[in-house]
Amino acid sequence: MSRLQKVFASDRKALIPFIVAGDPNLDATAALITELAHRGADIIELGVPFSDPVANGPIVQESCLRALAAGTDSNKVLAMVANLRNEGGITTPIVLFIYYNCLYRRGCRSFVEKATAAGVNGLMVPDLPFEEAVELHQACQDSGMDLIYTAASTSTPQRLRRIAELTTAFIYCVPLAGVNDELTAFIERLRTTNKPLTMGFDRSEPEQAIRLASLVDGVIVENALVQMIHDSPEPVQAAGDFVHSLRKALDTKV
Amino acid sequence: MSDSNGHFGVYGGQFVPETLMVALGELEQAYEQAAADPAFHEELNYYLQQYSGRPTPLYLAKRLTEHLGGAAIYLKREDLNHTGAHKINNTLGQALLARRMGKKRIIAETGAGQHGVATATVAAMFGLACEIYMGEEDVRRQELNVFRMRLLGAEVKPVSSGSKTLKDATNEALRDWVTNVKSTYYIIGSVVGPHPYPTMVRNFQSVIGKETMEQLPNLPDWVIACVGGGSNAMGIFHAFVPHPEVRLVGVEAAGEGLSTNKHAAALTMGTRGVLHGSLSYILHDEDGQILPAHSVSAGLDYPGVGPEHSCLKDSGRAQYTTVTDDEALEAFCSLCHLEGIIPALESAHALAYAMKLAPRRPKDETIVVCLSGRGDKDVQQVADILASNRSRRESH
Repeated sequence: MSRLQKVFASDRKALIPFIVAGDPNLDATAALITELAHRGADIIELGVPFSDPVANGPIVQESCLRALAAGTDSNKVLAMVANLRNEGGITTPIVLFIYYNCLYRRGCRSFVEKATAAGVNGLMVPDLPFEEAVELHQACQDSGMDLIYTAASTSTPQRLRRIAELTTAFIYCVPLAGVNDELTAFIERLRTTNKPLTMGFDRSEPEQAIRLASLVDGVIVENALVQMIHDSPEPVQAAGDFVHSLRKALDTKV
Repeated sequence: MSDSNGHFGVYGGQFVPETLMVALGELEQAYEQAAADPAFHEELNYYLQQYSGRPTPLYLAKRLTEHLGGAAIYLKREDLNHTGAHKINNTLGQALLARRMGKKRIIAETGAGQHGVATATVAAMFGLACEIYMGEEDVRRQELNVFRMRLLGAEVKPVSSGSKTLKDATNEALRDWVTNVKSTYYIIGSVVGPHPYPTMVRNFQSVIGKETMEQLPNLPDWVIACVGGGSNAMGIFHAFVPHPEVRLVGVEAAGEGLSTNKHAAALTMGTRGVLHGSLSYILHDEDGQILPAHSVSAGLDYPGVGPEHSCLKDSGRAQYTTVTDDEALEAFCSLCHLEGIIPALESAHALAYAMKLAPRRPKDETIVVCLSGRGDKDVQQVADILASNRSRRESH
């Protein structure tokens, strides 16, 4: 069982904060990861900044551009993760969220090997459907890296089945914005796969996280956290408090 | 030819969020059905002829040819299409497809504004809601086309992220499509993007090359077209690809020079990578970050290129070369003086290369240049550049 799979073997709902590596700089990111790990995060989803993040909205795009302007690149992100593992004593599983071109440019296999050595536990590639993922899937399998596939509410039942077969730790579920009645049906379709399900959550009220957690096994905190880190004068404290409040809400209500 | 997942050799494919995969499958199916339906072609041909004015002439540029003293230069006059460029060949086809698929809302990205205008035009004609994404930098450079789109009833959405040009407009259009995939048809304007777009757009544009072939008594020796995303080039190349005696030349924008990093020569200077849904040659750094492109011509100002061009480059079937901003401007002025035709700055790149080539080739050779668009949209920009060049010279 991989480290990520172990997270979902427990009864509690997984809390997965998403942050962009290098915004405002990598030292701050290391401090944030450390804080989030101590304040109740089960997995850290670490975004590798990309110049053209089409699968994200403007909040993450702006965050990526700030990180790139600060000189962040994927090698430095991996070095930071390695340092957190070796020196920082951080054991919380880390999933890298990385656009395919950043990975492709470094060489699929070589990147996966380096990421594994650095202590990354899983990869999520938002612009890589399974048809194009054959090479990466093999490289991940050979390195013992989890590869997390995305299921969309627009995916056909055949596609959902294939995604569930391929994904090795959990499924990242993407509903269509504003179509709430379809959400339940979408989750029900995925439930038959017996794979843990996670979904993104963009608000800052713990009640919303609780509602979402009643449907899925893990909640990924996305834009609200990225924006908070940018806006707050004390980003580490603010992010830690926010994640801690979500942790408490999930543990008491679900 | 591409395989079933839209690969041209190693290039192409579908590198998009899962949310779009079913929509791309539906599009592919709808397109294949339409392509096999004679009624679809009949309707498309009707609009190409009666609405856009096809076939466009193949004009022997006599004074230009005499001036250069070498091979004969023919201009494929795509600038004489309704809306002033080849872009409408594609937007008519895709709008008919959108109608067949029951989509009521059209979105598009645009660089120079030619594709935006061509999309707004067909949306008006077919009564479809239309939103056009355009980088703020291009909105500034192409004021006239922005006004045209608004006159035609489209909503122009300026994009302020990144380099504020075509690449960023495409990002926003893709995001819109991800969000509104059920109601919306995305008309991509070039032979780029995920499968089936590169194949479909090339097929809609292939009318350019088919007509050219019919209009000449013999095969030409050279076919030259500018390449940004590469739709006019694929459109005129496609019919000639099976005839190896015809040399195909794509001309990329060298901008201020290939050594300056201010260029848009993805095929000449780029390496393999993934941008906007397909694998192709792109301009990116060693971390995979997309580099900003530069060209005097907004329509060529793009850090990627259609995957079929990458395949043609690797196989050697087409050659790719570059022309600088200054060379394109000179060709722009030459065509105005010698032929009374104001070309688009994009097309002026193809012309500039033809003008270098023609004097070196014998008089019995034929060069066809795809004059992909007219230059009315560029007149103000050219006036500004010429004025600033003049004042720079005078101050020396």
